[in-house]
Amino acid sequence: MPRDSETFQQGGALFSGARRETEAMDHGEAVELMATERYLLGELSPEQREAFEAHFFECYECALDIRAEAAFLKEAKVQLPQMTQSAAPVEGRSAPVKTQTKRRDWFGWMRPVWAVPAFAALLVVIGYQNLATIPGLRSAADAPRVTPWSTLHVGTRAGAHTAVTADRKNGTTLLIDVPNDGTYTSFGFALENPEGKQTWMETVKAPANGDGTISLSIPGRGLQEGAYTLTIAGITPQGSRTEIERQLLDVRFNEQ
Amino acid sequence: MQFYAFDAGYVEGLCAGDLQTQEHFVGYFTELLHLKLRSRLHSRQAIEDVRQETFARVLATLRRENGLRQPDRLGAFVNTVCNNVLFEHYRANSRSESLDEEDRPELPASGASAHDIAAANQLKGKVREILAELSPRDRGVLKAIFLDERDRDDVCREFGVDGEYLRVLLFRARQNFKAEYLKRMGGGPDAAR
Repeated sequence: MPRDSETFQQGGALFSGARRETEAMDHGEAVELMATERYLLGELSPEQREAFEAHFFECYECALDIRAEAAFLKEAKVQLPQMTQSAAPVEGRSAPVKTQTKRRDWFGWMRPVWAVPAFAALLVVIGYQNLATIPGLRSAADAPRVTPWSTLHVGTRAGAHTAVTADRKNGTTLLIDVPNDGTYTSFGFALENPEGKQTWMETVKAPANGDGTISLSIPGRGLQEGAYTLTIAGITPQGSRTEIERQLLDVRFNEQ
Repeated sequence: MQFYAFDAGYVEGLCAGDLQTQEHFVGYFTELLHLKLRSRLHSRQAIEDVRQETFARVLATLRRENGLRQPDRLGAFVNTVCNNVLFEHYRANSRSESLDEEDRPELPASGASAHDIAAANQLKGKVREILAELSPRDRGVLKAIFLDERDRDDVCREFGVDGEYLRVLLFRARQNFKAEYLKRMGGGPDAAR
């Protein structure tokens, strides 16, 4: 069985000045590095760029990723000017005709005809909050709660999905096994909702109890079904931050 | 992760002049070669020359007896040949790079069928949908970097984001777009069969 370099010597022999071939990047490394995005953003070093090219010419999955992202960006360049212009002021038009605008009277509600019923309604709302809503919330917050839980092992597989069952009322709890070999003194967590908006971030100290487990409780309020992204970064004693995990959490409610 | 492999049947089809396989080969690798070459060559004509020379050499090698011993490594072979052609191009043009015609108009696409046009419109619609779902800030970031070609660090500072945010923004857009792209454009070697 010929080695790769021998195989390509067949082609290389045709050409004068044959070059030394760069070793292709490993697929796992390409995914971990977000090489597709870095390639199109021009963030890879020349060596990394050649190694990634050597990889995506062979890897159908990465070739598809890079073709799709390049096609998206090409079309986005055409459409973005119209989509970002609508909010911007339009120049070069004739001077607008001055129209009579209706001035808003911010203090109209304070006139006697409105003030009495407005204050009465306000008193009713305050009374209801003091007598019913706030005590109810207080007792709910103090009471023990049972929530579904899932475990998450850091460093299992890049871009892995974890199925997470949640309760509409009480949310869910994640038990996260973080590396506990002393490399990191704290961990940064960030959670993005299915729309890609960051909804929460927090930095916590590495667990001192030796088992390396951190529990993360996500309340039910505001939680929705869909793919959340949990990013975990390890922070060294020197303060350098390294992303060590990016997990897609498929949140589903337990219908009871 | 499973890697898709080109196989002996595909290479045989290419050598035998099977039109569908050849069209697929040219379409698939043209996109990859353009991505590779656009960061290295500034003229469209130079990119086109290197691409065509690469294809000519690859096909010539494949048609020789014992042309490619590992058909499953066709993609790597195309990349290697392209690297060699590029290297020769650099050497040949080291003193005449200025002859490249920077503003030469792009060659028109030839013979787009009704199906191609419909597929392109579907993709445009999908891109519009994805862009519309982004926040104004994210659209502004994409425009500043890819359309206005502003310095990334400046853009990040202005919009209060970092490099990681940019990559995730692109990653998500690609994930949303990929299924539609795959449906409309096909892609793998099996698409030719």
